[in-house]
Amino acid sequence: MTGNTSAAALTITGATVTYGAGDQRTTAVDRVSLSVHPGEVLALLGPSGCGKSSLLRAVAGLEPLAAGSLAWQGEDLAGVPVHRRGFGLMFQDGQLFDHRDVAGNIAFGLQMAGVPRAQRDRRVAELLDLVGLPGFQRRAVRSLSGGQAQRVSLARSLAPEPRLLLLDEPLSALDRALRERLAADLHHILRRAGTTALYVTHDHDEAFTVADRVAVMIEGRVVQVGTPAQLWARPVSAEVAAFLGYRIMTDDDGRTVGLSPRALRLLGPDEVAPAGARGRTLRGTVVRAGFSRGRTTAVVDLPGWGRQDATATGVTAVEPGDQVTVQVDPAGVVEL
Amino acid sequence: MARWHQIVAWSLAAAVPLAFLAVFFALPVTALALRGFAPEGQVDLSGFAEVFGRDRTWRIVRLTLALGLAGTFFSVVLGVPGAYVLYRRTFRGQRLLRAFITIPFVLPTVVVGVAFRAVLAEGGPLGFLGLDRTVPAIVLALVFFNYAVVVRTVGGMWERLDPRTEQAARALGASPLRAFWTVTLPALTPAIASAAAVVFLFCSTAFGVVLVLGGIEYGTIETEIWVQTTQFLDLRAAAVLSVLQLTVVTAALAVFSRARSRREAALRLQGLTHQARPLRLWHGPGPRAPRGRPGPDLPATVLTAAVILGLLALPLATLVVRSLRTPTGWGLGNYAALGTTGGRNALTVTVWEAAANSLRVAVDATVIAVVVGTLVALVVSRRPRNRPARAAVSVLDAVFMLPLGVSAVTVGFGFLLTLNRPPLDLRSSMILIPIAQAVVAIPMVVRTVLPVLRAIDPRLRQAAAVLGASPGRVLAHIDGPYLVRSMGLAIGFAFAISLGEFGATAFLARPDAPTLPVVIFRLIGRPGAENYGMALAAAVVLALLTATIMGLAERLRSERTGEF
Amino acid sequence: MTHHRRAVIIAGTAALILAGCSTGGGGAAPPAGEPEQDAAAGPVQVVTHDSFALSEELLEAFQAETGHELQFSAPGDGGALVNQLVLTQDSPLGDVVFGVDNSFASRGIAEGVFAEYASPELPAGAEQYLIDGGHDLSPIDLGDVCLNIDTAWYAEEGLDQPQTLADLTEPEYADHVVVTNPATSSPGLAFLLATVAEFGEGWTDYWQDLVENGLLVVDSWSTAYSEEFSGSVGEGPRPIALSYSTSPAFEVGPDGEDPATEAMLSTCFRQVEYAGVLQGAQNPEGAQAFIDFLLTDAVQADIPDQMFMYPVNDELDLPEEWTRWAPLADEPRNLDPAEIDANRQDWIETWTDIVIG
Repeated sequence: MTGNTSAAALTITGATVTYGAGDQRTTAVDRVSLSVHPGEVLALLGPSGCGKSSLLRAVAGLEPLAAGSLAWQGEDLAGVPVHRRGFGLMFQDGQLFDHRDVAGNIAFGLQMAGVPRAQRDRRVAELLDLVGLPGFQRRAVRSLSGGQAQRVSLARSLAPEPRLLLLDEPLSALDRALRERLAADLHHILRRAGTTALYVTHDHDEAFTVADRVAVMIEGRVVQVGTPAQLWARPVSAEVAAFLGYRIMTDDDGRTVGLSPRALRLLGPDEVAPAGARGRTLRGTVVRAGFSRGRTTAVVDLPGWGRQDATATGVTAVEPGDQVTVQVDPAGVVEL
Repeated sequence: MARWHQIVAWSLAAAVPLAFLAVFFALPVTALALRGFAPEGQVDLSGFAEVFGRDRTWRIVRLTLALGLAGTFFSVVLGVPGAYVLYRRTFRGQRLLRAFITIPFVLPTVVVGVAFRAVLAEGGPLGFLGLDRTVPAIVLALVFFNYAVVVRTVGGMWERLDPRTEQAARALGASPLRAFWTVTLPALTPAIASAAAVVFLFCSTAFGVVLVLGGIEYGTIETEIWVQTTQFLDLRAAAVLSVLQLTVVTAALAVFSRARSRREAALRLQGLTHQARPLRLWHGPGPRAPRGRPGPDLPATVLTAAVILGLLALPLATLVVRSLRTPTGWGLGNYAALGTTGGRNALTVTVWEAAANSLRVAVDATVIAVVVGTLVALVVSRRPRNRPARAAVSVLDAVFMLPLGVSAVTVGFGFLLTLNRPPLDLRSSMILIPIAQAVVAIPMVVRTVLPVLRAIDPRLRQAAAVLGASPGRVLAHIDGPYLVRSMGLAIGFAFAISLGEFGATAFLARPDAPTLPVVIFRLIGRPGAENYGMALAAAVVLALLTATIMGLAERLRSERTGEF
Repeated sequence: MTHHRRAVIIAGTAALILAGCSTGGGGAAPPAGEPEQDAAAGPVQVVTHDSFALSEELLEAFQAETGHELQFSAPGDGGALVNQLVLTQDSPLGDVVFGVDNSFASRGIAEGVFAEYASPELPAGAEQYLIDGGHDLSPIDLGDVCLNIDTAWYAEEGLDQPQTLADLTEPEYADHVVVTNPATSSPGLAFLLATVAEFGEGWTDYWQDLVENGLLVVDSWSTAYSEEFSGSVGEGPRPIALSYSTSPAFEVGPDGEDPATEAMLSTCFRQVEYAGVLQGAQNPEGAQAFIDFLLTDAVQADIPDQMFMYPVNDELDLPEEWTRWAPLADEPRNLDPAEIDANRQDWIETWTDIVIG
């Protein structure tokens, strides 16, 4: 799973992080091995409490490793203190320095690196453009909205051009629309800056939007690593599939499968399956009907499949009790 | 992860204050205690049995504890609403009022005794209460002295508390009182425990105020140590009593520090600009109540106004009024006399010269106290990973509170024993006065700065470290600005303590360069109406001086925060 | 960054304040008169109480004539002063002490704190005050601690004034008297000694009677005299208060009216203040010179005005108001200093048991 070590920027080998001592001792990160390649954004995806933030903090140097090692381009990081690692870290709630204005925050890392003032100012302006907040230099950080604060926080992390950017759930405190938009922005900004990044999130959509590769972490262990497409196509376990958004069920053949949210297509009463469509059709009874994002949705009781969500391609008039046809899209079904 | 040079730096930061404390506190006190327990080199602990065998000892211990607890309880109960009104809300004249409440804290006890007796004695404005020479009178005076400690310490934390947590509780259906009780109070607990610890120490070691207001039947451990040491030179009994006092104080500190650390998480502190809201005494008029209903701030405001007017202002006003009474009628004669050396040369210098001495001494004492106290606060605000280091940090925290719990007499006599040989032959040096005052002021500096430092979200420091700031620069750029915010108050307190300090100063002041409290004490101890009047006028000057200093400290603070 | 500039301003201001106002920077007053520095004549360290005062000219003249620079420290008074001297015998606080009084003198002598010195300046009339005829300490000044009585008050009430200590236990004088605690106040101790001198073994019964007759005990002279006493500034409720024989002189009206108080001369205890060379002094010659100086006519004549005590030299003229309103008692109560020293703690503890319980 470590892949091509020589080409890796960051190599994590058997990393273990524990908290407490004696009886209280808990293992947050359990012998994790991973590598991040230059220019790559790797997402650490997992439910809350799975140890992904602890791993991130260990990479930053904020948590000691109980076992294992970290290396940057083959060089061991064990003796390198936080401030010498040259990594950036962006927190969930930004952690902006509220005694400094926006420019003061962004310039902080440059100041630490001894960058001359004029150059600092230029870089601050550049970054504010990059994150879409031109002219915000003198604003007090307290006057920023949540999204603006996170953009400033990102700019602050990027300013010293870190070798590796660590992002700890940077969008999870924001509302959904903003989160989606910022996730897309982040993707572009990180690409444009050519940044190598480790991105922690519990949101698979966000992970798939931002990252080149995703490592799924459950209970302290990395259970699967791959590109979003690979992951989506072949989740290694029901657990992973469920976390990625598959609904786990047993079909009429007794197989355990994962159904993606769009795997079942609801056909209207006078609608027929489009020509050339693959996959089988099923008949069932509508239990509940609804509407979401311009499409009709329904819970349909399918013999042998149980009650499942189905979505129409458009608006269809169905009522509870109606007999309807549901088409199964084979691309939305994974066998587990 | 802690690298060796960091360990060295932090050890040094701890070593400087520790060395200071060792030389100017621990050694003198230990030396005197050793004289008591081992006068001929042979340890003799029979004093314990003897002192504990006396009924009087137990009565004294009971009274000391009762006074300490009652004084602390009422200071906190009255001080917390005061902190709310004076720091969480805004109104005109607020800054002035904040400075005003600090005046009692630094007035010499002789003066407070005079002012309080004038109010409480038969014929005084509150004479009908019959409190003169009773335990409640002492407790009132203790609250008078310590109200500011609670208001300022708690207020300083409160004004920076993120109001949104309380708002969230309100939105979830909690009444204002319930939201306060379940959300705000727990967040304030570190500050309250911190203030309570200091107030308890002040109350349980109060000396002059107990003697002056209580009359002699109310002996406390502190007064008994004074008598045994200065009058009988019975160092054995004094040493036993000192151990007793130290035990009481240490136990109290342990209790308070438990209360504090259990609550002390990273609070969400804010700058000052947006939270303070105007006082809301009345809801706007409506159909049901044409003149408006009582607003949410009314009870706290009424209580605070009552305390400030009745408990603080009344004795001070009495003091001012009496300072205007001269042998030839009402007027400013007593103030004019401050440029003289008093009736029949009661003094060796004029009161103005003494005031200048006081200011000089206070500058030195403040510098020492702020430097040492800040170092202590910085060290103590760390949360090391390993257990022994954590334990060391909390011991350090407690150790610097001890000077408040040890009698000034013990320290003063101890100085004579230990600071008598080069290179520390300081007994007749003026520098000993600011040092002795600093020893008393350091705990206040620590207690003022520490809660703010401890409340810094550790992730802020981490964010800075990740951005390439070395530990030193994290200190300068993250802790620094917070430190500066609390510095105004710390400087103000240190200065005020130094200005008003009498116990240790009285042992060390040179007759040709007395401080203001010493001069007041001397004037009040001389017969003649003009001297008495001058003493009161000088006390008013001292009060004004204090108020000015605290007012400036207040300014320094809000100017600093204005730019944030 | 604005806060950098501000920090610089604050640091600068702090530096200025430190340079200008600090005990290090010009705070310690230079010795008055800048005496000629004579190589042989070193400074004299005088240990005294905080009431010590003499005219500036006299102190300057001493320094100019002898070349001894005077340095003062005042670590306490009464018992505290002597006890500190005892405590620091191995490394004395100074060269010479002034202000040890007869109620604590014996303790210092017994502990060997003082070095003998018979000053040639000692007036003949003062020899009666030498302790056991020895020269450990030289008497310098004296005063009487007496009950003061508000004569106007008694005139107004139409009541006869009490004449003796014994009178004070009479029912008509119930609640009239305020005294101070002998454990915390030096006049209080003096008054306790006066009652011991007057009643001998019977002093405990006397105090018992006083307490039953409404005696008020306060901690300090100022509370007793300036607050509780009806005849002084406080205009308190009690017409008899413990103070000094000189106190009435301070109650002279602003236009020279006679004071409305007087000292009850039958209740006085004589306090004598001594000076002595400290054993182990670094500058014993200077110490001796200072004691001689204290006994010169000029200084003796300066004492009443500066320290409100009578000089031991009884041949000098006293200020007029003193002779009129502040006479010494003809027959003050007195006790042998050695007896005082042997019993002091015991007496105070017994007193505490009786009066405070």
